[in-house]
Amino acid sequence: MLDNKTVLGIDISASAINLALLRGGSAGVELVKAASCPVPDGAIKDGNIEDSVLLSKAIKSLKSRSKIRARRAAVSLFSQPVLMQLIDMPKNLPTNIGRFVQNEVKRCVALSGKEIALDFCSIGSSAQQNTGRIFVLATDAENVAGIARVCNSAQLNVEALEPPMLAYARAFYPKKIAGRFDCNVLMVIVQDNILSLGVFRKQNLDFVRSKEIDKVTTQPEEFCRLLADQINAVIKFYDVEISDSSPEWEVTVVADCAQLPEDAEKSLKAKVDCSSLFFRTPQNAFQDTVISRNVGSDCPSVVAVGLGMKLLDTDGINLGVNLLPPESAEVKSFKKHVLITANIIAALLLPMIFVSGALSMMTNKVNENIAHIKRTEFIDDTHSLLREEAIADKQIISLSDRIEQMNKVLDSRHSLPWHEFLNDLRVATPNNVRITELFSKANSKIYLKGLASSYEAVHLFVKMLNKSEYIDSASLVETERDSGHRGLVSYEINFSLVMKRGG
Amino acid sequence: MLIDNLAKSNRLSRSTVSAVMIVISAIAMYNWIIAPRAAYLRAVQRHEIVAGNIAQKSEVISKKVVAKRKELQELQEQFTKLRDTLFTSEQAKEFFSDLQTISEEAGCAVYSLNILTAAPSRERQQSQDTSYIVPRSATLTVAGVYEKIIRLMERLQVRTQRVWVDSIKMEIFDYDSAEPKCDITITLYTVEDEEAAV
Repeated sequence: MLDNKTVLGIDISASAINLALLRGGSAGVELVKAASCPVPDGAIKDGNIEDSVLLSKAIKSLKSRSKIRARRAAVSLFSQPVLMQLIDMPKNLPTNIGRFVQNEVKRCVALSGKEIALDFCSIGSSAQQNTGRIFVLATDAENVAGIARVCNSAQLNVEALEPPMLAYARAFYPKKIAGRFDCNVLMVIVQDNILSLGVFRKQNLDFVRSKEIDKVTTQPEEFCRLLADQINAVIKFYDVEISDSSPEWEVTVVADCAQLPEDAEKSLKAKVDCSSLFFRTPQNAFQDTVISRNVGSDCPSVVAVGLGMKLLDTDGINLGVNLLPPESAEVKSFKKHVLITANIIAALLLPMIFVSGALSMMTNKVNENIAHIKRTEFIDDTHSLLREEAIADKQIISLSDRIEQMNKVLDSRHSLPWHEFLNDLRVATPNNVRITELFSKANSKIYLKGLASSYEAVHLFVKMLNKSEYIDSASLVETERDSGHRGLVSYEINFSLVMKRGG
Repeated sequence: MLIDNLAKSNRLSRSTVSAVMIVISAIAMYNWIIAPRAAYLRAVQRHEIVAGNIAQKSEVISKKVVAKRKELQELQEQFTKLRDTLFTSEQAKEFFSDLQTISEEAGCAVYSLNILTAAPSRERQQSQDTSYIVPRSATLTVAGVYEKIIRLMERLQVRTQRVWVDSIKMEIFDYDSAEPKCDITITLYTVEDEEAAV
């Protein structure tokens, strides 16, 4: 069952970096793109990472050049030492299998004294798992960390790490292993200076061995003979030791021609006691896979393809080992979580910045309005206006008070234009009337005393007085004929003056 | 250590921590970014309202001040007009000292001039409001023909400052030839502490 995912397989060897971009779909696995480049000088030395920065840059550059993008990736375990081992489990299964396996692996001389990264899985189908064999894969934890660092630097999300041997087996499985119940399948992989042999019996891994070869001292002819010897030894071992083993063998050798003589295939076929021997190089091994290939893609690495297939979870070889520790996935998940959280916070920050900007703009607008009001209105003069109003009020009260006082005084007085009154008095006095005394009392009362020649003259005088506008109701108080004054009539008249208020 | 524990924790715990972080961050960002600006904006808006109110009130006050200035000017004119009808202390002194001259210029002979000591007037006794307006009186005894006395009266009364004739007494007179003796009591008002009044 394939899912719709695009994955990247990365095969790193001492000489080359190979990428294979696979897409899984209902039609099967499809090779979308492949790319390769040489490993930069000094990046890998003696099978181990020498310069991780250089290596990661090379991977990143290749990815970028080839325009390869994938969320998930699997990488080959190219560092040494690598331990691949099949362990028969005791009949009484230990409670802690992990501890048991770890103790078994610690016996390996190559890994002694090192922190070990290991993974294991049971061999065979679920029905056969009762046979009690497990496949163990182990290496130096430092190597795993180094590869993980390189991949992280190259911005690859690596989910799986396994040796090339397993990737080959997975890639070849549909054509070479699946359904071969009548013969044993021996896969011989030579990559860099490691010779790996794996026997698949009845579709299951039954034997595995890896051996380091000194390429410097081993000549091609000698290497070819060594290869044939190893293959014959395995076949002989099965013939002798395994009673129910099939006599038929199919051997597939994948080796770089540079390490072997030109007639390596012919030489091997002559030396190996097997009629079905297929010799493949990394360049033509792809023909043994079932992967459909795009016309334009480069010659793909089978290891890279096999690694990609691991992530696509194809129905194939059931070797679920992965040297990347589960903590790595947790850390990645945690990083993803942190990234999402940071993005949400950033997304929150953005509208807040906009809101803040909007608030600032509104504030500026209001400030401008205030400045406009201050410019155009009398805000600054308010205090002086209030002060002026208070002073004006005080002055108005004071002045009103003074005016009121003055009016009060003036209204309390009555005024008369005395010169006009006296003039009127002279005009009103008949010729035969004489005034002997004139005096005022209580301001507006006037008393007149005098002598007249007759009563008629007195009455005429009174009548004339009453005609004056300054005299109010002149009245005759007393008249008397005075015998002492030659019979003249003495009189007394009083009247009120018509006075004006205030003057 | 905390990060290690967090990395090893399950999805629910991580989600909870993330949610808490987001909430805390949101609150912190609000408090640091939005809240101060919002508070400032509210303050500025209140300031704008206050400034607007002050501007309106200033306009009202300005109009009131203009009206009061006008009212004050009118009162000032009224006050000046009224004040001119009263004497100052100096003017009163001058007037009283000129009384003999005025009488003689009118053609009357002065017999006596008695300036009465300023006593608490009725107005002053009644109210402190009139404390700065002081009445001053004098009794003038003159002799002259009737016409001259009329002229004297005219000269006493027809002037800017008001002079009241409180009483008058004349004895035995002929309008044309006799020179009756005439007692006149006059009163005028002086304005004290004029500076304070203005």
